Amino acid sequence: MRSSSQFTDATSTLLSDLLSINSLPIPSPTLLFIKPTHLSALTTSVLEEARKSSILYSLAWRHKLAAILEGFMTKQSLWDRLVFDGARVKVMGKGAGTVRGVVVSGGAL
Amino acid sequence: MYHTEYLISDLALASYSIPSFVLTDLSLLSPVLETHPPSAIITHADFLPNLLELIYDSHDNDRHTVLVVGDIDTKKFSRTEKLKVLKWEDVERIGAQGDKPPISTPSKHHYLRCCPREPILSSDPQDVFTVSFFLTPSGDLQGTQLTHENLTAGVAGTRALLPLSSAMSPLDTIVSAFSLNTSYGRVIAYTAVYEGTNFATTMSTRLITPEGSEILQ
Repeated sequence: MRSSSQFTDATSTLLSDLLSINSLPIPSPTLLFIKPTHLSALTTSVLEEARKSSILYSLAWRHKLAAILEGFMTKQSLWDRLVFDGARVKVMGKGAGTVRGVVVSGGAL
Repeated sequence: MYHTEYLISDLALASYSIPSFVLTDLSLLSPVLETHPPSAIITHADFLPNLLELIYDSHDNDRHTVLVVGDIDTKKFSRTEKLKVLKWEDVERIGAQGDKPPISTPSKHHYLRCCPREPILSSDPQDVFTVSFFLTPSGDLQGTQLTHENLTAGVAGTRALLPLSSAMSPLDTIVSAFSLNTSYGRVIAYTAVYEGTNFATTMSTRLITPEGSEILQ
């Protein structure tokens, strides 16, 4: 049972909607054209998974946030390798390695 | 998800300059049938019983043709005196075998095509090829006319969203959370066709569920 208050039913519905693609006979997705709600469901799930599975989460998050505020956006930093990659793979499956671009539209981010 | 049939129908109607109506929501079906009755309706087999009910309720004297994608459950419907119900696969097969009439290409200049069987109007990029009906926030029915130019501009814009260094290519797979019944969803689908990528939509974009009677939000 999930205990975090951030993980609602809506999040898991949206997430399973996105992941329904994995059952189709097409290659793993590379580009996602999704709605803001899907994006927030995805990010919430990944961060939640990271929080659950690693002790270093708070440290990793602080470093990641500082880097983003400086302008470094990367999936290849040390903290990604230690904490976030595993979480991404657990949530998205094969898509964690193949998704290279996300286009969000249909509402405020 | 029957994207192939949708895209083929869309492209066929557009290239022969036959205007099409697209609904973003199934609840719009009865108002549109009353105000803008179409000559033919393309639907999925799961929705066929509901569609037939609606047609019988609204128009008793108009002859409709219904084109059905998917397998028809013949137990569920029987009255077809006033309607012509055709299977999409049959229509496609017959069309593929026959002679292809010349297709009008969007062009501002009229020019002779070799061996025309009948006069073809050359269509303008600014011709309306589809009307998309949607509900305003206050609940009124509204329609947007889309031209060939609109859709082409949409595809060009969508391609430009990615930087040139990592542009779209046939190696990509596009996943869209936007229904093909919306303009944006359609544009994404056509971008996928243009770039040769793989394409899929998520389950939430479906308008017609297997139960048939539900109308999705």
